[in-house]
Amino acid sequence: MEVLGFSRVFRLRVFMSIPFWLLPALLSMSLFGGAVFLPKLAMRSLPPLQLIVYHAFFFFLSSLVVLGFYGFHLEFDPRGILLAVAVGVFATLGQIFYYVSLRHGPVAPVVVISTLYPLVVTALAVMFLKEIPTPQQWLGIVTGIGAIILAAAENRT
Amino acid sequence: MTNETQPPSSWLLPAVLTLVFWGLWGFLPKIVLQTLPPESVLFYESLGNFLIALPLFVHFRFRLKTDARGVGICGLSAVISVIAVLFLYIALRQGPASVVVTLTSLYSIVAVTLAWMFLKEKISRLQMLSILLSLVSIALLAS
Repeated sequence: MEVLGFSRVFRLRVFMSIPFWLLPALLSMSLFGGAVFLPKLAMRSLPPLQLIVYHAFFFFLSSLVVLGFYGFHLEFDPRGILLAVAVGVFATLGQIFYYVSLRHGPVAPVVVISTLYPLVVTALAVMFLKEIPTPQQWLGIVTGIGAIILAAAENRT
Repeated sequence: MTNETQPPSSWLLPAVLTLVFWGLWGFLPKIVLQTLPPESVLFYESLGNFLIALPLFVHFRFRLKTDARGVGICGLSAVISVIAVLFLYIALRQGPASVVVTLTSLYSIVAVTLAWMFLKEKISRLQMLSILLSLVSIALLAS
């Protein structure tokens, strides 16, 4: 019985030590995998730049549905709104430049360069938010970047 | 996409701009989420998408190809993107930007696995190594 009790406490401690952000981050990763995979199929019948227009339209509709789920409660903060709109602008501009560089350049280096954006995020977070990852997390970032480079180097789409 | 490769001057700048824009896309929400909830950021982000997509729509003279399957797949992709971004913002609100964004950018292993499952694309040794490295990375980032 004591062993069972220890086991339960141990499992509870392990569960409690999991950071809150980990589960949504993993769900986001899995969903992004699907979201990135599907346009490969759509590009068989639609040009990439037209996909961007369609994607923006459906993204808007879907974000409205999400907003509806939260009771259409939209918060206002001028600086936040400006930056959030900029987030959308940067995402779409990045997508356009990605297609442009793929059109003119070799696939592997273009994909590798563009998928290194977590490095930019890390640099900005360290500089402006004073976020200092733990040594394990640094190692995780380095191995993650390595994994991204390997996957991108093989990517031919 | 054409396979004719042109000098680096024609593709390097757009590739680097992609890197910078996607970097800003990953970083800025961390600041925005200090004042706005994820669902509001998502909505405003969609307006930002439109700011760029509308001129493109005009460029195409309001005429887009209407292949039902392609449009349907694109719609499904957008729905999944929205949910993915929502979860990303929920994670970013609590977690460090560098760690959360690196973790979510490992989505390529999911894409490779899906391509293997549904498109019967082979997984090369490099991709297998990439998947293994990703798993190590996830374990380290979650520590």
